[in-house]
Amino acid sequence: MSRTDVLIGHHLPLYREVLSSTFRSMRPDLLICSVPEVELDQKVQELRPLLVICGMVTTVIADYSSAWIALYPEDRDEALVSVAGKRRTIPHASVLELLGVMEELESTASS
Amino acid sequence: MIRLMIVDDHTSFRESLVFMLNLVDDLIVVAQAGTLSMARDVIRTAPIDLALLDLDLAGERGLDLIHEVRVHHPNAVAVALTGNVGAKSRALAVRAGAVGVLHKSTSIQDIVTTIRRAVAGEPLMSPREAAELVLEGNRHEKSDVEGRQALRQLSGREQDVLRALATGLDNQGIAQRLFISQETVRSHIVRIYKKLGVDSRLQAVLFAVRHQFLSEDDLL
Repeated sequence: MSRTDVLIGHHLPLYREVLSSTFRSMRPDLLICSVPEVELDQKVQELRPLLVICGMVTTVIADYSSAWIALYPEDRDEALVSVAGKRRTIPHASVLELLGVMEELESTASS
Repeated sequence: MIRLMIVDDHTSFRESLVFMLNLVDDLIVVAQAGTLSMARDVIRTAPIDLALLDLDLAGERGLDLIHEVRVHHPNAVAVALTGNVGAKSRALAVRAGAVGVLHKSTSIQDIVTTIRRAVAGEPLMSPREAAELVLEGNRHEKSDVEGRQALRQLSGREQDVLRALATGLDNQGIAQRLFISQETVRSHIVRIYKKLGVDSRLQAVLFAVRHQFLSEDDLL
């Protein structure tokens, strides 16, 4: 894929670093970018990633991204997932479950 | 090889951190946990050299684990890893025996460096800084203990009134909710003020939040 697949902009830098590095190791075929939260809205509009992973969903993310994951809303161990407008919550979301959302997007795109 | 235990309630972050640390040649994560009870179980059994502990585990005090690490592993050290920027959590962690406190804005390389230095017995802060943090931790701990004691002195009905105050109800609303007169509500509030050492509704609610009697969910 030539476009950014996953854009990670969680507000905690350590979260961005370890999640993006782990994703790259587990899915080297994906183009994964990590940006500070303050730049996330701008990068979402520029890069139009397939999936945005953030700490808080802004209007720009909701408007420009068809799929996003909000991690740890209000510090709870869960992921709020939105794919094509359909939302669901994954409690205690694992790395594999987060990557599963990406696989879901890929599967939808190829069908 | 440095044996690590990682405790953090954010599952995907913890898994990613474990994955990254296991890629480092001289580190191995031998145990991980996402809750206080799970952490207590693994502390008793896992052979560790260093515990990297989140201080806030879904509302539970990860701080208590620092002492337990020291009890079960006298040669191991604990380093706190927190997303909280407040000086209080840093002070309480050092007072509890953590040799260092890292914020989640740090980098993985800084964590690796800190782990190596801590296990080698190198100080992660100056004696003066450590002493100041311990003293500050003592003050916070004393305040927390006194606060919890004051809240325990509230009668059941006074606790009901305090919870109702947090929802923003006025005396009439509280009276209707609790099926008591407004005069009785006023009496309860006066006693709450006296027991908590406050002089307004807002102060009473903030006191209760600060000492974890009320959570954000209890507030209007």
